[in-house]
Amino acid sequence: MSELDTPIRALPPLMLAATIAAFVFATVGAVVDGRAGTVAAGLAVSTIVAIPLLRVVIVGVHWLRIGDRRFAVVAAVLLAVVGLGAILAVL
Amino acid sequence: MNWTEFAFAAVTSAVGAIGGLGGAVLLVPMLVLTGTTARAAAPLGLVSVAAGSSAAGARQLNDGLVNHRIGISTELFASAGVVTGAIASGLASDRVLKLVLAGVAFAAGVLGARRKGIRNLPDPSLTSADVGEHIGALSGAYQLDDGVVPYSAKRFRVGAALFGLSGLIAGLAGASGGFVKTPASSEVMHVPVRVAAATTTFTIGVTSAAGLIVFALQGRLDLRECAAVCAGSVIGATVGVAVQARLAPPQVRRFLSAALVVIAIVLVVRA
Repeated sequence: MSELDTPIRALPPLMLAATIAAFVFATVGAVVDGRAGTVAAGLAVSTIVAIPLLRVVIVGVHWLRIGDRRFAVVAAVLLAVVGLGAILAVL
Repeated sequence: MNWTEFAFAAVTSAVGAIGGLGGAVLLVPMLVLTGTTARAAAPLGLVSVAAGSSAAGARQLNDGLVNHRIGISTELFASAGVVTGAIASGLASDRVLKLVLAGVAFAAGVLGARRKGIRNLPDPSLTSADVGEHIGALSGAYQLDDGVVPYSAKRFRVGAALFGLSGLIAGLAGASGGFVKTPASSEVMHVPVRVAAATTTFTIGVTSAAGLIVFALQGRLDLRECAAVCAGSVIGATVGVAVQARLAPPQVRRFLSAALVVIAIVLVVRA
C-alpha cells in the first residue's frame, strides 16, 4: 500500500478564520452605505476567491516539501490555468 | 442590504448543503424567476458556491474526508471548462443562458434523484491510523462508523472529461457543477460518495474562484449584491452542513430533484 500523507494541521483553522473574515466583510458590505460598504464588499468577494486558491497553494507547497513532485506540479498547473483564464478575460 | 438575495442565498445554500447538490443550482433559477437576468445571476451563483464551499471546508477537513490529490487533479479540467464557459457566457444572449440554466436544473434534478448509496466496504485489517490520502496516488482511506474504508480512483480520463463539462456548466450558468462532479467521482471513478461529496465541496470553490475572476474582469460583479449573497450563503451552508448529519439525505435530494425539474420547466416556458 502507498505511504499515508500527513494532514496539514494549520489548514482547518485557517479556512475557518478566512471564512469568518469573509462573512464579516460581506455583512458590512451589504449593510453599510457609501465607500466603506463598497470596500468591505470588495474585500468579501476577494476573500472568498482567495480562500480556495490559497488552499491549492498550501497543499501544493506541502506536496513539494514531502517529495510528491508530480502532484505539486499538478497544483501549479491548476493555478496557471486560473491565471490564464484571467488573462483571456482581459484580452 | 438586499434582503431578498440574502434570504434566497441562505435558504438555497442550507438546502443545497443538506441535499448534497450545492445551493447555486437552486439560487440562480430562483433569482432569474424573480426578475434578475441570467447574465447577472450567474456571478451571484458562483459567489454563493464559493462562500458555501469555504463555510463547509473546515469541518470536512477535520473529518478527513477530502482527498486533495483527486480534487486538484480533476479540478484542472473543471477550471479549464469554467474559464471557457465564463468567457462564452459574456457572448451569449439572455435567452440562450436561460435555456442552458433550464437544462442544468433538469439534469441536476434527474442526477440527484438517481444517486446511489455506499459502494466501497470497510477493510477489517485497517485502523483509524490508516485514514487519509496516499502520497503519489489517487487513493486513500476514510472512517465509516466503526470501520475504515480503502478506496482508489478509477477511470480517471472519463472522470476528467465529466469534470471539464461541469466547469463549462458552471461558467455558462453560474451553478456549481457539483451535481455532475459528485456522481462522476462516485459512480464513474468509484470514489466513496462521502469522500466524493467532501472533495467536490472543495473543488467547486476553486471552480467558482476561477469563474469569478473572469466575471470580475468583465465588469459583471455587483459588489453589494455579491456581499448579500456571500453573507447569506455562509450562514446557510454552515447550518446545512450541521443539519446534514441529522437528516436522511436521500429524502431531501428527492424533494430537491422535484423542485429543480419544476424550475427547469418554468424557465423553458419563460425563455
